[in-house]
Amino acid sequence: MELTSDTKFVIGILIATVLVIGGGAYFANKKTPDAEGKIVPNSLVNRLVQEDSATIGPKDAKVTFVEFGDFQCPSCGSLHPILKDVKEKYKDQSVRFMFRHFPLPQHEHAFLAAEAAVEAGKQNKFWEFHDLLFENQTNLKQENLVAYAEKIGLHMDMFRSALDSHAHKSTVERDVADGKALGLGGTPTLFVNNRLYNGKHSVDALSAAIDAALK
Amino acid sequence: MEMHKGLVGTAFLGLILSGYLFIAYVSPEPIACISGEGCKAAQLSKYASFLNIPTPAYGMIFYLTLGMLGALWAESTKKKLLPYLIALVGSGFAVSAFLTSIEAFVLKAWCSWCVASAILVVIASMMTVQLVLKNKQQSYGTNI
Repeated sequence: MELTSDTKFVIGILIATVLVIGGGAYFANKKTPDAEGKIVPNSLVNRLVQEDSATIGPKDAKVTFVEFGDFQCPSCGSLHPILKDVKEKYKDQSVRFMFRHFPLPQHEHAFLAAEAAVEAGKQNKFWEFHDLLFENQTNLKQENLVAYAEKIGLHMDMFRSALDSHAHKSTVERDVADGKALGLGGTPTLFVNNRLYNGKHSVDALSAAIDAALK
Repeated sequence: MEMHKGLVGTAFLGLILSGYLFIAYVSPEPIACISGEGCKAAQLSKYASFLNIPTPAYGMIFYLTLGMLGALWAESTKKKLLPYLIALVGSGFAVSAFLTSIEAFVLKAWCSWCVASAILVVIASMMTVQLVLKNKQQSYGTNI
């Protein structure tokens, strides 16, 4: 088969396009995102931290680390083991971790899962429940939530009643409203003290941001 | 110039679309689930890669091959190339239909770039059907 010059030219253009895309992918992969995001304005600071939200760490901690998350969001799911390591690393330091709910509308089980987590928090087992939800985030139907609640030993009558009556709907809605007021575009969104965290989702990068805030 | 301009043009557009998705896939920017943004939902799903290779990379291979076939298309080569075109576009159509159904029924989110790529696959399929019919007519004409 003899190739005409036009055919050669077109094939060359197609191959050149692939090479340009390959180069773009290489440089995109090397790019390091800027970790420091914008500071939450004073007028909105009270929307960032709610004292009835689930926390780990001292109330008067020097650093408050806030995650706005969605139990059905795969990105929150991949961040979960990383944050677990970060929480373990800073458990004896002046760092408080807080979880705020931001269930996204496209995740059909996320809102009920958030309500269930609030109920688990009322029964002082938020973080155990939170871990189970993230570890099983593709199974978050009501019957799954009940099974997880049983597994960690929640008071089942109270739990079922809270889910059926949507007792914690307003708490989740308040968190979502706070998130929207803070300009959240999605989940997970992280804040270190009053500053939005834009950096990589790794133990090292998150630790660097927390260490800087601890200084 | 004998090449099939329609196939080449479609392949070029598809290459740019899948190339953009490929770059977005390998970018280390923290990925977030975004309300109403189906591309992120698609990017975060288990369907974003197959055998550890990003799905857009398969798209790039598909469109590159389609472009090559389009560029090589000529009166003297079309009989030899048609079975390859049918196999390529047929498999591309099947994969595209599968991924579109995943968007509709599993992710319940639409990624505009993926939809655009699916439309290009439909266009390529229509052109292929046209070539098959033309080829049949020509064979029929030669036989009588």
